[in-house]
Amino acid sequence: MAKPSDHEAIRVLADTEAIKKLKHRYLRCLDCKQWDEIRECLTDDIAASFYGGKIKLRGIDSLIDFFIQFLTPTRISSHTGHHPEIDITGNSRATGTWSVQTYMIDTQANVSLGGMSVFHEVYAKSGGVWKISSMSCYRIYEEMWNRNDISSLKLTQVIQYKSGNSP
Amino acid sequence: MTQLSELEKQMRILSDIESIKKLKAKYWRYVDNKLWDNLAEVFTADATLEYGQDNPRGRDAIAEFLRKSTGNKKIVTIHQGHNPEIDIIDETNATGIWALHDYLIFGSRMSLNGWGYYHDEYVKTNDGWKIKSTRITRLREEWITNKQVT
Repeated sequence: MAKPSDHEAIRVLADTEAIKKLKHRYLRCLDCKQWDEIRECLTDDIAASFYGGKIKLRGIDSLIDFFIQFLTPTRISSHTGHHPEIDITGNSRATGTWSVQTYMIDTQANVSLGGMSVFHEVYAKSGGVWKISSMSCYRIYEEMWNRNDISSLKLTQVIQYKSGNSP
Repeated sequence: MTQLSELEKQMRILSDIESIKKLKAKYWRYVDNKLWDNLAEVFTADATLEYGQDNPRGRDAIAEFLRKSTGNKKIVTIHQGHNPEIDIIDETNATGIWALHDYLIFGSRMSLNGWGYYHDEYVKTNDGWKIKSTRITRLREEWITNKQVT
């Protein structure tokens, strides 16, 4: 017979897994520029802080405006989330720390950018669905290089961004 | 003490695997952020580390070894763990193998891309899971040296 503590442990495991999936979905939407679907990952009143507080945004609309301005169609980004430290701190609240690797190609400037950031996040559960309610990050490092410097470099495939469903 | 039911046992294993992944995540974050004082939190007092010829014994010696190798502010370290194979041996012992990719930047002069594995032993203490031993083996290393920069 399962004890109350067993139910608690199952809930923590299920919530942890749901939050990992939330972050993975968010990163996929970011790199596929799915600006409608990404809204489902964020609370309306989300607070965001980038580059160690140099950019501070509040509210889902200002955050998505920032993404659209920054991740223009000629910037192909790849963000991967690593080393999640998820803590379920209540029935509808959790915190998480992630290491996020960024690799970006600006096809217009012909520049590549690589970097690693630490993200501290807060999650809120409403109607059974977890969303990101706060994110703040700082870079461990960031480096850029001119792609013209590598004479044999050739971009052989690029996503065709489209609105609606993810490719 | 009643026998654990199969369901309870499986759930405990899942919880333990999750805790160990989080433990390792903390280890990498502390190392890459140079939070040497926090490292004691993830190791047992008598923990061992093995990396080639280096073999610090005890968590203080491990922290000192890592601080000496990468503590310089001009050195950026990025360690990424992938593909965890965690085995829960019993209620207080576990082992893990992780694939490692590390990227180290030494000022503007050179950088290293390395790949390898961690072979870990973990123990569960009153204060949660801790790393008891960690052995790092290398698949390969690739160095980039920029001789143009003085």
